Amino acid sequence: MQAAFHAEASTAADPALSLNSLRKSFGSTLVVDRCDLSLKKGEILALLGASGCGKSTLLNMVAGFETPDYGTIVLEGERIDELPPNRRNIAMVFQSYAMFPHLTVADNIAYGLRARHVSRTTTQARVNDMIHLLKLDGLANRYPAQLSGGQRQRVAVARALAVSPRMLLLDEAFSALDRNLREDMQLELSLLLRDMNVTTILVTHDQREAFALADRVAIMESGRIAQVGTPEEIYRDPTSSSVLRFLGTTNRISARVSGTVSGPQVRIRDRIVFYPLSDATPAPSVLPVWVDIRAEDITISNAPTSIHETGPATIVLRTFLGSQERFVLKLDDDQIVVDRPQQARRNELRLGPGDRVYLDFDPSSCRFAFAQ
Amino acid sequence: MPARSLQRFAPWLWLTPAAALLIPFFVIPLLLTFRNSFYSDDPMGMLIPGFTLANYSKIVRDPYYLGVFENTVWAALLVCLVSIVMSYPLSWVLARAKGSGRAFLLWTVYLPIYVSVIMRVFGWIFLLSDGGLFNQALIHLGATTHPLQMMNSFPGMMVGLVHRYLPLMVLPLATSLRKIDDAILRAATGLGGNRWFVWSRIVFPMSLPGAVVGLQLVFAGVLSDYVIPSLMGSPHFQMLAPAIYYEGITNASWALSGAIASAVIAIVALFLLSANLLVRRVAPWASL
Amino acid sequence: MTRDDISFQTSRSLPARFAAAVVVLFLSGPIAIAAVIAFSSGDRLEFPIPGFSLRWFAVALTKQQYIDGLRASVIIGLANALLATLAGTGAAIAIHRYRFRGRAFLQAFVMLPVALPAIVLGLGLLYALSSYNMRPGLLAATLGHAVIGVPYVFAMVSAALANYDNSLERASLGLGASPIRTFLLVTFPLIRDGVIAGGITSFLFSFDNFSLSLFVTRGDTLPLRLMQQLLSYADPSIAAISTILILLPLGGMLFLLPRIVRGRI
Repeated sequence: MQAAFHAEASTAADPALSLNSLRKSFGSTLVVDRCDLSLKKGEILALLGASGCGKSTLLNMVAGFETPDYGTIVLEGERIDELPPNRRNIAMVFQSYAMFPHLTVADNIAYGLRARHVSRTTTQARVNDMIHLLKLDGLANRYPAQLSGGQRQRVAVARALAVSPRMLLLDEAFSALDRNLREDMQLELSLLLRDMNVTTILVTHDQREAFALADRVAIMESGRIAQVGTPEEIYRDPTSSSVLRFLGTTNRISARVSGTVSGPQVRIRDRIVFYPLSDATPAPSVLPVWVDIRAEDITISNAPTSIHETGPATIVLRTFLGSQERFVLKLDDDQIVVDRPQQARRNELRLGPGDRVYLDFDPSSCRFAFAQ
Repeated sequence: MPARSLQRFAPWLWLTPAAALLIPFFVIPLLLTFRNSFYSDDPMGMLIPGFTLANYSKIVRDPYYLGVFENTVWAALLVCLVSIVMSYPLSWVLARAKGSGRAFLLWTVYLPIYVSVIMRVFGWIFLLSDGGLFNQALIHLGATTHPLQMMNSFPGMMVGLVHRYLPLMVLPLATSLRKIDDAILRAATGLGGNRWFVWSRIVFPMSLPGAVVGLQLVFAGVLSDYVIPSLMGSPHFQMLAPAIYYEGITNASWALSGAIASAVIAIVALFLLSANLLVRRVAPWASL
Repeated sequence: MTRDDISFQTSRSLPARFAAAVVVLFLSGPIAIAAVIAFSSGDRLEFPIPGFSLRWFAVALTKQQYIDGLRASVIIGLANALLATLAGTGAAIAIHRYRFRGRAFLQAFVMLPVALPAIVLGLGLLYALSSYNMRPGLLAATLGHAVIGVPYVFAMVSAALANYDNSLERASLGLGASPIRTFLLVTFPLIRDGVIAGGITSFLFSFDNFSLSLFVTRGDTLPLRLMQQLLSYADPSIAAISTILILLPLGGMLFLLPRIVRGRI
């Protein structure tokens, strides 16, 4: 083994994985910009972001397929960023699954064990365990070309877990499955991983996937980690406008901020008026700002509300989405989307295109951004 | 309805040019070859109809003909071996190259196929003949006092054959290797394999179907090559194609040359079929 | 975007690249040397060449046997390319657009001339010629070379057909165009690349053909005459004419290679 940097003997409280100030550029583009992250043993963390935000590069650095320009990666007390990928004992599941087409399911799963020169009997037993665990019974002698997409994904996971890795990495591992299968697999995998207490990082652009599987979610944007927290924390309390806009359906409405005796006041088309309460209150200014607010945080009614007293909006479209009702409203030239849960409908009036309504929302659920 | 019946016969209409070309000038010639192999030659160069196996027994019993067959098959197998070893590095680099690097390598591999064999042999003659460049260099460096016989010898012919058929091995092998995408290599490495393990367990097995296609092309090519043995070969090491020419044209022994040609077809067919079966056996996944 | 991985990717490995470079040198060396010698001002074959001159090109272009050979080869080349293109394209369209029994067999059959040793085909053609009361010569060579060219045309046009979306044809027919019009205006332009590539390949291979020409001509073609010359006395005029001839594959490859690189062939 190469000489490794050992921290003090790890205790149960020490992080299983810590990424310290990682930085990576390709040519002149800075792709990962000073990322710090730490995971506890057995924790599942999702790296969520749009394409090009640097999440895959970050994952590849942890796996060893990319070298950081700067920064360290410490896994269970051992510094691994200088180890080649085959010595890190970290297993990865790829988006394409990367099945070895010339090996049967059993041989695919056994690959990592054979690379480690594990004895034949132990390998055989472990392969059988994984086949059973991932519900691949009866498929041991099939080739990948003979399997469905879902089955191939199971083999990919089985292959990764067979080597008892210190850490599991999932790179958009569900995007090739269709919706129903995806949700079933996510559920199954999340139970399995918690059961086996495997520290996991998964990379995805799909918010539902991240929320379904992860204990904590890290939102990445332009190479930086914008916010880390439990799904509920980052959903309810996003630290910035861009994080808010990333999760859920949001509206972006143009507004003006003027100074008053009671503090800065936000005016949307001079009809919706409120005083912002969140931390990032904009200062009064001549320039317009964006108000970002979720569709589900807005309520509508026939009567004027505390923030919307005159000049109602008109409903242009109503769509039934299953668990929600979605309204598209027009306030002058602004288009606003409002989602209303289905159950509420029984207590509320039926509304449809042409109806004139007033909006209400809690100012603390807005975030602001500055229009350039 | 006329349109309907046209539709039914449409494929056959499209096939007419091919049939008009291939049946009289491909199928019939082959059948004639096979038929002639059972006729006899008379000493004055006439072909006598009949049915006899004398031609076949001649090529099987006569040490000269037997030798020609052996020579050619051994030479073909040797060229196959050398080609596959030489082409692996190039095919690998070609398979993973992208953009202008890939274009450059493809040029260097395709150009020899399209450039005249004459030009290539000319270059080799210049390099390998007694007064040629290599001998001059060797003598100049004092490695030898007499020029080494390289042209018109078995090694010289081998060099010419490998040079001619190597591209036919490189291309199918590169196609197979190209299918090994980055994700597979990363998966194989990430799961713990070192370079040798990844190569022997993943890269090499996955390249076998392409390698077999290459072997088939090279074997068939060398077996029937006329130019290189004639221009660069040794008079003591006779190959099949010049022998067929000799018997068929110079001696006008149509029956005997028919028998030799039929035997060549049989050997090539046998090789191709066994190669296909081998692939089916060793790499069942390739035909899934 | 290039990525600088830790070198587990063995294409970066030095031994592989070095070995590949050696093989590239092996493949192109003799050709390059022959090309250089063609420009030699000396009387015999020597390297380095004493001086730069075009004299051997002049010799090559005035040698009657070369000129006749070149003319014969060009005629045969063009004619056989045309025949092979017609036959191969028709076969490709038949097999890839229609379903009928025996399709797989026919496909294997059309590709067969590639697997067959050319020398055997040459011999067979010799036999057949006498039955058809034909003499060895340009026509016989044209037909023989066309047979060899058909598999290449077939393979390239098949690839073009596989790549293109036949819902375009359906759209055309649905809009009311007749099958013939659809073929001319929709199908053919889309497979044109494959057809031309096949034709060029057939031409180039015919230009370099020995085994077949040996039997069905009386040494008429240029390759045969050059071989004759090599056997008797090798002088730089052979290199000169071969270098001129390189223009042919070069021209062909300028058309073919970008399509190969892009994966269209």
